[in-house]
Amino acid sequence: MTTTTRIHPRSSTRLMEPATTNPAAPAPAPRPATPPEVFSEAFWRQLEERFGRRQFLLKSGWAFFWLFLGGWLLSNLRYLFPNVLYEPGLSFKAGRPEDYALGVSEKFKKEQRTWIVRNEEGFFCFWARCTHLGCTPNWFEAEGRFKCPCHGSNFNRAGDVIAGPAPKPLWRCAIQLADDGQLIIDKARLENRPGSREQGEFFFPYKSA
Amino acid sequence: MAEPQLPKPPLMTLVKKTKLWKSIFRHDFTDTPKTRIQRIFGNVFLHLHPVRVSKEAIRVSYTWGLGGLSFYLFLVLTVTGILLMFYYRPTSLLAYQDMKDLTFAVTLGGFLRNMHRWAAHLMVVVVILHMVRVFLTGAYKPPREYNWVVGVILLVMTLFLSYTGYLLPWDQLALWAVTVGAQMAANSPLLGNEGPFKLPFITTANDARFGLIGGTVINDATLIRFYVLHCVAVPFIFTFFLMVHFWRVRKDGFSKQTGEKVDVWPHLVSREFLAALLVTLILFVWSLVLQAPLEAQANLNVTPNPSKAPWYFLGLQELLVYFDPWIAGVVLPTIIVIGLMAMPYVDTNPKGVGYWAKMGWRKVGPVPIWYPVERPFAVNVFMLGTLMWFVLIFIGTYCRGPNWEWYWPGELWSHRRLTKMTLKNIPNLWGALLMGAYFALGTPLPQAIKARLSRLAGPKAPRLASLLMHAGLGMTMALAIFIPILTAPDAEYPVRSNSPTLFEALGRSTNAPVVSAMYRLVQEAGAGGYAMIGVMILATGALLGWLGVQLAKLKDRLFEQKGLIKYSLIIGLFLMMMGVIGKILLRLLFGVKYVFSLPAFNFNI
Amino acid sequence: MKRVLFLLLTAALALVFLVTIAQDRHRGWVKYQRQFLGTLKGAERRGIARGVHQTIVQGLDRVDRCTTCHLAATKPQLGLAEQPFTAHPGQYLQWHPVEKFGCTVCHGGQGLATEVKAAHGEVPHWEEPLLRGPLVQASCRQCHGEVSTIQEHAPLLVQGQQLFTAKGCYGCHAVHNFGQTVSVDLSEVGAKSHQLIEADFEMMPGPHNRIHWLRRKLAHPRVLNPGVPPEALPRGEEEVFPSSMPFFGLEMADIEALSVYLLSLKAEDLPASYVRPPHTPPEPTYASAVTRGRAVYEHYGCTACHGIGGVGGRRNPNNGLAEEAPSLLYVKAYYGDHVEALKQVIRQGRQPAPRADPHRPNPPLYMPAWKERLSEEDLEALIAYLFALSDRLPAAAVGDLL
Repeated sequence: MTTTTRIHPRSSTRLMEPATTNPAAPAPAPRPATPPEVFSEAFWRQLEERFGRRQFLLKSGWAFFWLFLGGWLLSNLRYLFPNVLYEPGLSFKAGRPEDYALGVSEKFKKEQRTWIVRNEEGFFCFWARCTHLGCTPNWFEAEGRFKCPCHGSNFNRAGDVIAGPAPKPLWRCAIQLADDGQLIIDKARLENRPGSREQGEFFFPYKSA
Repeated sequence: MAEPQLPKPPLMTLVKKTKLWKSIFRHDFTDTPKTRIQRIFGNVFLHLHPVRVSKEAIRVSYTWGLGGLSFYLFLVLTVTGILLMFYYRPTSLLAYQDMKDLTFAVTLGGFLRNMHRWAAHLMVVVVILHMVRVFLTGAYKPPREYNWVVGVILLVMTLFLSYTGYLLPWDQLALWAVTVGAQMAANSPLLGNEGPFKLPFITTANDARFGLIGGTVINDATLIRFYVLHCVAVPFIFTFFLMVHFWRVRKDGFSKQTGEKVDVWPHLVSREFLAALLVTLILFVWSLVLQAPLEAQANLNVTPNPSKAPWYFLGLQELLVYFDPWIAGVVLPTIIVIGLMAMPYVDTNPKGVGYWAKMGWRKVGPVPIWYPVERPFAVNVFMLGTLMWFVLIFIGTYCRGPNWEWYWPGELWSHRRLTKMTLKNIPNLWGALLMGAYFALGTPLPQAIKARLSRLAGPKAPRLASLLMHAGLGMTMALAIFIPILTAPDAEYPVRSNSPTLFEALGRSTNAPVVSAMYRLVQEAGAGGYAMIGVMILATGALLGWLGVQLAKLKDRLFEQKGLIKYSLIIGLFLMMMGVIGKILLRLLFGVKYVFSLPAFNFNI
Repeated sequence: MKRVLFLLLTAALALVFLVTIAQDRHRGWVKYQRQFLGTLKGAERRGIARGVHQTIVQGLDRVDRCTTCHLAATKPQLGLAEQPFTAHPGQYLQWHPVEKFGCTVCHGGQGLATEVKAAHGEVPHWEEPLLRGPLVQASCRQCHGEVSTIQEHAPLLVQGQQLFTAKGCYGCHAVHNFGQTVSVDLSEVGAKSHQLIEADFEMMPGPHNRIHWLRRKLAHPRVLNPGVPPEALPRGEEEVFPSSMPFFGLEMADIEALSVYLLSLKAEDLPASYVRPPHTPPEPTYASAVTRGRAVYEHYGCTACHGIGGVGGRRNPNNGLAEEAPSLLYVKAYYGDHVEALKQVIRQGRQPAPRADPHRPNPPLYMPAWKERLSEEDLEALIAYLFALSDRLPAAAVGDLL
């Protein structure tokens, strides 16, 4: 509509200057009470030229409407993400290290969905959840591997994928010794990269004397 | 009292004269041309129809009544669903008990549950068939493109309704299907905690999976969420799109407009009524004979073995075996849906509207094949995709047993079977070369270049150039498959693997038949074996090249017809579809897990 | 044509509807209720409501509909001679009022079901089969943790528990943190999911439930897990060891008693008001170090591998060792002068010898370490007992075998 008379918005304020200030007169004392110049008649005229006043009101109205609607929808989406959960805690005590034999213990599989593994050097703990799509694998002692029933992923004793579609090794949980001599396991802290998972909080060194 | 004795009018006539009757029924129901129209106009439900339609358009062998039946099944599901809601409490303590109550202690409870379940299955079948029918009769072509898009949305929502309903019985079947489905959300790119390129602020406690199931594990929060989605939210949105769908059917008209017209009342309405009766009968018998499955109560500690999704998701579950979850569970479904939606906009062929795709015989080499004459590319690709989906469903249903291992149909399942599937990655550079050569197959030879070539080097030059290009790409692909398998070291040796090379590792496994055959050849025939493998590579390259040449003519024609953008879209989708088959074959025949793998970014192909 | 079709469809639909209603009306329990009410008259008959009967047990979160068919179970005066109309025997219902306990908490089965097979838990996907006959004793231990206090009512359970110790099961299996962890923890074997024993089910005839599995396992441990010898393996596969559980040659009665005890091993979270508090037995006193040592030997399950009285003889598939667990009758001859070395063996156990090929699995049987489980006094006493064994070598070997 007004494309021919479109003025760059930044230049508009400069254009307004001659109409509102008189360069010949001495500079008036600052009067904080006066309304800002942008609401002067010239400003509206500029707007009128650019959009037309009714157009401007309408467009701002729509802008506010979409702002409101978009914000409202987004906050409703946020509403669907709960802030408190009724879920069991992620850390638990798993008894004394000397109660474990060498090998994979299924003692806490039912309650805590974890396997506690003891080898010659010490302890680590698997989260019993397939890294493919979250099914619970089964431990086959005779074959020495964890097999997932959903899509056939196989993991070896170290949790590495030896078959099937799982993209990464089983997660290991943080495992440490509590003050009372029990193992304490935290499923919130997970690691599965070779190297990092065999040290620090993810491995508890324990040798039989 | 000397009034003449009038004959007493029949009761109905009196009733029909009352104000009450007249306020409800605005016209009489004798069968006249006028009332036939009034019946359609004067009834809000029948008003979905036009008054008169082409006689051909309502032939059973044309529509099979599939659209109407989809809607009828939706109504059946709504009614049975509402009835079931009276006895169902969506909490993990009570949901399973309520299922038992329905079966054992509620009059017709088990029957209604069966009916709800089987009607849902039937609805998925009917919706898919409806879609195939619309495709094969060209009914998605202008001006009905947008209504096809709405139809695709309705298909997706039908599947989502099935998925959310699946959790409600709170048995093992439900829990594990939903576990797998929800985990796919966790693998979505950017927004999933285990997906590729996840955003820095994403954790298990705010990713896409968390939003879907309302927590980090499936529990009461998930159950109530799925309950609301299944019973209220999705049906609400579904109805909304259904209205748009119907409105558009009315406004855009039926695809078949020609020929003699007949009154919708009674010709179409009676057919619809008969079809609904038939489906009701089928559902009743089905629900009487077959019980809806209900397994043991949900238990997160024990996954049933094998753990299968409902049949219409088994194609997806089978796909998940061959690909990373984010590809199989997020990218491929998205591409399928977008591809389906884009179809009417890229298929600009005006032929084939209003009748079943015309088929004819054509010879490819010496072999006569039955072939769609008018819309060969569109029909072949669509039907191939549909067929592939059902082949995957077939494999998932009948060929997968405990630990998701391969069993032939009829073979006895065993939990004792020993397997050690060996799967290996191809080194990334070779994989990139393979994929690059594969997608380069999509390059057309535009007319302009052809013309220039024949000017420069004679009339045979364009054909020769095409031959060279395709043969070269085919050979590159063959080399990119075989060379790494034959020569690359096994990255997992010696920690997780006994064999220093990929060739030995795969050759000694039981699940890579082609590689183990080659390995045996080399073991037994030595250098002769290598020579035979060389021949095999050449043959594979030649085969792939030949396939490329077969496509060349089609590609060039498509490119000229559609222009660059539409052509890229079509050929990209097509190559991706065929690539899925290729990757499946690579897995099943060669034991290849990924052709390209960046574990640090969760990015594997 | 259309009219014929219409008639056929509506007629068929009406027919199928009638069949649906008839099927719904003729549920299994209706027949039994009619049969039972037929034997009654007058007030007795009027006293029994028709329809599904159920006991809602608030404390246990259970609803039991067993009395829909077992109509006389709680009315002894109406009891008939045959099932399902017998009255509940004994005084058990006086001690365990139906309103507080229901039925299934003791008898198993599916309380919500009203069809015979489903209610008895003999259908797929219901993992609590009916505990028929004396098997019901397995449920007593849930509340009566101290089973010796109910000896006269649950003799099999008590016998099973004694056998479990006597046969040395604790030498390999732990139950509630007592016992070794050479093999699986049995604390919840009584509730083991059927889905986890599918592989064993394939090796036995039906019915495929936990009860039959336990009986089978106890009778022929290796039949369910025969392993796969290296020569029968598919190419590139690893050897699978057979079950290392010894063959105990148990009598039928012993198997039944042990099954009852094993079925009782499950951790149901019962409210405190149901549970009988356990009382700790007094510390036993022993006449001598040898008797104490013998008690230690039997208490900790050494018998399972080394035999009763240390005669040895159990098969041991461990590579690098002899094929049998060694007899202990010659302990003094070997270690008489090296008591510290013997202590060291008992403390450390004998871990499986490392395989030549590290990718192959270890055989599952070995002697576990005892250092954290045996006190120094117990160890001394045990050694005194072991040395005493060889003192009476000729007679003991024969006498204890019988």
